[in-house]
Amino acid sequence: MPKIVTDLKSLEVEDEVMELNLGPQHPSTHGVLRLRLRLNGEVVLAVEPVIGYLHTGVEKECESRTYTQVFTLVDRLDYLSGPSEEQAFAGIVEKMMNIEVPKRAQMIRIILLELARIGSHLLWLGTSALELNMSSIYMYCLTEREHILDLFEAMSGARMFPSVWRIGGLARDLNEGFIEGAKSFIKKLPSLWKDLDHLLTDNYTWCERLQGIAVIDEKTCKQYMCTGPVIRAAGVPYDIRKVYPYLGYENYKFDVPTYKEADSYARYKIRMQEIIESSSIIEQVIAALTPGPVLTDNRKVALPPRSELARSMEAVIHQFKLVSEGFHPPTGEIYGCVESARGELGMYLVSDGSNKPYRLRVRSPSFPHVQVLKKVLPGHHIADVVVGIASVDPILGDVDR
Amino acid sequence: MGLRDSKDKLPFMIGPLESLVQWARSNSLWPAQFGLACCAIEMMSTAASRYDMARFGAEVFRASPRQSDVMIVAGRVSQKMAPVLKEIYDQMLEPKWVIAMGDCASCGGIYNNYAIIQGVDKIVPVDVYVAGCPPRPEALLHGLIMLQEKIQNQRLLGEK
Amino acid sequence: MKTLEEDLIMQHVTAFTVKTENHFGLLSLEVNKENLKKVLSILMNSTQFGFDVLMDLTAIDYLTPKVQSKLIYLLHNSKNHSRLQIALYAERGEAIPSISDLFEGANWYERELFDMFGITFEGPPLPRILMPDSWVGHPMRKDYSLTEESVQFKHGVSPKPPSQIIPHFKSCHAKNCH
Repeated sequence: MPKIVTDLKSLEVEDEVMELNLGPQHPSTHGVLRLRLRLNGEVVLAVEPVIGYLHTGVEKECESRTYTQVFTLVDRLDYLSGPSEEQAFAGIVEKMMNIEVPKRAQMIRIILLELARIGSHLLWLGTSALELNMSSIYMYCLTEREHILDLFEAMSGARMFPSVWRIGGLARDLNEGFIEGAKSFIKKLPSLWKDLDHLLTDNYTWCERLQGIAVIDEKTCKQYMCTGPVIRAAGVPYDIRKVYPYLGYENYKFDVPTYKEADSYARYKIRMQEIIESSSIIEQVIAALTPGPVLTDNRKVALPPRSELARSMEAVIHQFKLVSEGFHPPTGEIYGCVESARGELGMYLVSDGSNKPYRLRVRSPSFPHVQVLKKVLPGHHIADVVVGIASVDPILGDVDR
Repeated sequence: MGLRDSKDKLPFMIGPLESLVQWARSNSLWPAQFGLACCAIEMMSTAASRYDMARFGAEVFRASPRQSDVMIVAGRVSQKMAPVLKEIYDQMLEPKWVIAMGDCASCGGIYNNYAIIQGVDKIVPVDVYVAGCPPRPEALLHGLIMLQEKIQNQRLLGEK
Repeated sequence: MKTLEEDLIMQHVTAFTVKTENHFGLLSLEVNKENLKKVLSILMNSTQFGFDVLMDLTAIDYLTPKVQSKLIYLLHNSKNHSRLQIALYAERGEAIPSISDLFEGANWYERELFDMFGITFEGPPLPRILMPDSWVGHPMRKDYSLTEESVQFKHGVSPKPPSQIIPHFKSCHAKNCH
């Protein structure tokens, strides 16, 4: 039997077709995703993804929170790379209010974003390998990811969601051992990467299971608005960090890997390459890091430092106003996007001049990626469905919001 | 061993048997996979090599509810997921326990709106609540150990 | 987006455009629903500029000055990476032509808009996507309440629901305006 069956019409024999539910509670669906499959034997004839099992109502909840309170709501959407959601929101509000973020804060933000990207790719690799029953890869990847979470925890107190983003900079500076910790992590990363590369890239089982599966070519990507590693595997070098640079990414040298085959194996190789590129960006940023403030001076948006509260009455009033009321951006609408580990993460903010957003829309990268499975998976065997879902890396918190 | 009411007189030889059975049950709790959202990632970290959950008896996460003892509800439960949760719970065989991991499973967490069930104890009876957003892996291990102690103090015959 | 390109676009679609706005560098054209598909296919198929990717489809609900929803289509040109926005106002109960024959991926976005806002689209069927099938109401509408559950502590103490802890200040005060 070939890997992908092209003639599906001949398999639509009435008594042989079965509907199978790959339910929301399943070990291999990367979250609460439900797939309704029509099968003839083991060949998939049609796929209907059903989502909504993690719908949280975040967009409506954000309409009743102030701008600073929105950060904690929004970073639990894409729960593997929470910092990128925070950056997307902070970026559009700062652009709308024309606030200058200090250089040191921009550089620290880049370090945290790239560390989150490496952590997300490591977890993706670990869980994808676990679904193909390679559980040692899972252990290796998660152990390395723990070092990243240790760095986040020492800096901010929380492992997965550092929540240090504020409008106008960061809530606190890096702690004392952070730079040394990050440097030692970057130094150890290539040897781990080589181990994973030796174990997986030329591994017969891995190649056979991933090559040729879930081919999402360029035309399908454009019709279904796929971004991120999915479109880069189809040969299109579209990376928001290069195309619409933010936070000073244009000052650092990094490549955008692309491949032509557009199958799961190409997406795996792209994510592995991105880990290397991210570590090189972190190295460059650490080398360029200079001392300075991490939060803007604009007291209308950012809290004054605690030491100033003892000396200045104005600082007390600003603190009171910001905490009890929040700030008021001008009326208007704005769209901004960042490159998260999954693709283009965009946010559309509508402000009516009040202290709470009128509408916050999150354009999640995984929403179209789950939809494209409908087009791409028919013709595969049921064992390859799992590989197909894993290769587009959906995060259901982002899809369902 | 264990706490017993001195008023209740157990039949002869049931005492040691009860201790043995409760010891066996508490030290081989197999969780059913019910990772929903961010807490599931911390649950995965707890099962990985640094905070190894297998050394407390939670050796494998069974995918089938019929083969598991404890359901760790890790994450926020939405309106669409609630009937699924109840059905998975109903399929588990007695004796079964539930750990509500995280703030969203315990009480709705930071979300108080139309879409999230305010606490999974509105649907299934919960034995241990683990607080945190997400709880640290050590906190989940503490919750698991608390559940083990609770099981060891339960009566085998008669009321739980 | 460069102004030359904006002029070029306006030459082609000005007959169908009701209003243009600029949102921080993003050109936004307001059209009527009858001209929606025509405008989108002109923008998609033009040889001088091809907005061939629909990046996002969303809506904003208004109760004042009129009860209506504003749909936003965000278009992206994959060659020179410029973006354009099409806006469309729809009243409650009005059906909008579906664009899933132009952009296949728009189907789920339209289902989400029906589920959350109640906007119907003529074309493929629109089952609910995020809420359960039996749900009544459209949650993102402004007259649908957040449905916060109040909590009762001991001795009759009842804290404020989260959205009331910092109340909604509608207009900015003179001192803090920017």
